[in-house]
Amino acid sequence: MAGNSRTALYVAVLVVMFIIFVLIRELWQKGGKPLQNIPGVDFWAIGLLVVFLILVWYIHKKTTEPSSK
Amino acid sequence: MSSTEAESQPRKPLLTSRQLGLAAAFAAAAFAFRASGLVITLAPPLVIDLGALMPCLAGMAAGPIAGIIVGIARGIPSGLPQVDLVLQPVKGIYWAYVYKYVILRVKDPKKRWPVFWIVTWLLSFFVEAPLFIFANSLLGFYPFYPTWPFTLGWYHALYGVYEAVIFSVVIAALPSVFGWKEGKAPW
Repeated sequence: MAGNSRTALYVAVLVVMFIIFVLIRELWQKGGKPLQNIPGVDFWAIGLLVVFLILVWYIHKKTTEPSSK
Repeated sequence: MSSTEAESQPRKPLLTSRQLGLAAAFAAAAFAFRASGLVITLAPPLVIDLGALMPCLAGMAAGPIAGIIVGIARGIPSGLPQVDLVLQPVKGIYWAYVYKYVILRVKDPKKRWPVFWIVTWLLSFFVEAPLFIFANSLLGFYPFYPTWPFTLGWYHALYGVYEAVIFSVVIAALPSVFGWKEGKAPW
């Protein structure tokens, strides 16, 4: 049951995320690349990649480690 | 297996919580890179959008359905959503199967790396590039031939190398996420 509720939570998160994505596109970004020309854009991109890789690793760890109960 | 035995086994979910979680994380990354425009300079003025690599990585780590979800997330902020909403998920699908059934079939990790680099480059140049150039040609941006393989060939040749480098760095940093050490896809 715990697994089912976690799955439902992730599905809900995905749905909300996609709604937010569409809103960001429509209200701000409109298909453009607003931060492409900021100074040091390559470093910002690599930094963002590192942040997301840590998030990926954390989710992988949390969802694969054996339950303590 | 008898029907009674089949009924008594728990049904495998379409996506596990791990796959959904990774799909959410990679989708957020795919969207964030493209929506913000944070790019890595490839060969000025051409750039590489790390968001376009996320459907491939999601497919490798969490399977084709995760690849599709992430591909859609990458397509939403695109300048050409009619192209990216279709083709980015396609990348997630073929990368998932190529990774599981071709790359991870090579059991020796020392041999698997060069196979991975070659397959990445070949997929980039002979599958991804023609797909996107064909779609853009349908929109009237340029003719399919000679844009592929000649006019934009040098860019895609270089892009394939960068793609192989970034994939390798990510997999080397997180081998357990991609089942690299085990030689078995974790999905």
